[in-house]
Amino acid sequence: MRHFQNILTKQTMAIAVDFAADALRCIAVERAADGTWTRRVAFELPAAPLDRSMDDSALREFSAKVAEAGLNGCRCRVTIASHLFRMDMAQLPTMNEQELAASARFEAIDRFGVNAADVMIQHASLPCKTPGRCALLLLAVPLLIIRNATQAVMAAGLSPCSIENAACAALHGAELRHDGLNNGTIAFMHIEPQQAVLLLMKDGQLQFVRAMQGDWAMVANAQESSGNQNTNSNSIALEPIQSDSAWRWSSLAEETLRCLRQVCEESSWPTRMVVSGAPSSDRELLDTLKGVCGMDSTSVDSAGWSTGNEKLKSDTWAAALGAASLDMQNKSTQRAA
Amino acid sequence: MILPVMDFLPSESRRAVNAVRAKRRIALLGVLLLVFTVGVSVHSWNIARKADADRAVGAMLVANAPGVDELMDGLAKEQAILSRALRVTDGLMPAISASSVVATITNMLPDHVTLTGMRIETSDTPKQMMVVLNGVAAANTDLADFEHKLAAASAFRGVTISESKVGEFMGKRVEEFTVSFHVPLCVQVCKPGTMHVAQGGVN
Repeated sequence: MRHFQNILTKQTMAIAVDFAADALRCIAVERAADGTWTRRVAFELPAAPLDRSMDDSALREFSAKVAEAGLNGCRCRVTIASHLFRMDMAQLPTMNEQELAASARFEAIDRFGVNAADVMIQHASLPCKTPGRCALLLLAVPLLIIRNATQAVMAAGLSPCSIENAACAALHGAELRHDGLNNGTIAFMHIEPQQAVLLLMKDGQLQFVRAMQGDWAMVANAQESSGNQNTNSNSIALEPIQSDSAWRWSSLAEETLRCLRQVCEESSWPTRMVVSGAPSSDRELLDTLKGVCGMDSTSVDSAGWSTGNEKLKSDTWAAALGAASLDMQNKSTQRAA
Repeated sequence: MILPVMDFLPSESRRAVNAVRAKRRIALLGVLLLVFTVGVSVHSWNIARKADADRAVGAMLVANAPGVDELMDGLAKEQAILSRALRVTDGLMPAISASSVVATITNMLPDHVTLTGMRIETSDTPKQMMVVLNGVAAANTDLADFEHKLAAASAFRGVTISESKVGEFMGKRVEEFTVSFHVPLCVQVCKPGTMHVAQGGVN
């Protein structure tokens, strides 16, 4: 009956499914008149690798959870972990939108060395200081990943209406939930188990993006998993992490500092850094970033973005809530209109 | 917005999702329409059946209404006939009754004649009363006198001394006799309530 209701009636909830590296998360929220987000449903399932189709057992569990939550037939937004994307920034000569799209696609294929038929490429224009040129953020993701995510969500009974990068979605959420993100120079970092994404904004405009691969999950869980070594050649080499001191985050902090030095002048140094992702609630991470990069670091505290019967346990809901916030923005815009 | 939404959902996937949603919606609407149609049909059928039953009852009442009238007319006629028949019956009286016959015979008995037995039978065909008298007479003349009196009565027909013999009665010599005759039971119609008993011509 709920299924029929979801199909026939106008959807009031914003639903998001996050295929994160450490878990599959689903959340449904509603925006109250006072602007608070009321959480109707939030559940976590074991991570679903998107390089292959979702297991039948995992799919059954996902479907059962969706049905149990009464979300069958609802539209949802999907986010995919950032480490599955290739991202880079490029500068191209100024041109019209059609030419820019074609050039961005060509540039992405050339830079990422991928087969055009196997990837989905998107770009976003960024402000550029150099006259006659435009800056682009290029993102590419294998179509296989997209198809597997879409099929899994559809098989679970939901209808995906968009697929987004988790870091970008988290930025949307932070933009809504954190005041002052549109003023001055702000750094935003979204940390996932295998990749951290640094985004630099100036007066509400994205200036710079950098993806930093590394086994950040191991760093975050250093006490439990000491001795593990990262074997990925593209990853940032970690400092010895046998200790449980704040210094284990130094590799990430130093890489962040290098990125900021590359893009920021002394006068335009970020005033603060907002961190999202599971380790963002780690005080030592924030202290390390503050100490190394010389700016206040705060957690987005995504677990506190929404209210519900039970408080969310981890600070890993920024991507899902950020994606869902797009629908809530639309609804509030419609309501205002 | 700091960063525009970069949607990676391919257009063919979007079309597939929309198609699935549309299919679900159509299927659901189809089911709802079917349920609605079946419900309305069943309801209409029930209403039609009830209307048919009501119409049939009405038609039956209409069909039977003349019969009732006829029946009432018939009953009224029968009642009228019965009333007339009752009035006629009230006017129908036998010309003579057995008690009148006995009284008449008693009055006709001469002094020296007495009856020892009497049998009266009524027959329907012909409609008459058969009377057989047994008695004793002191002498033949007395018997003859009695026979003459009977024969003289207009109501008594066929007066016959069927037996006459000498006998003894209380130590005296007498004539034992048997006389038979019949009384026709003529029916006369008179005004009801004013009937009177014919006296067999005695008076």
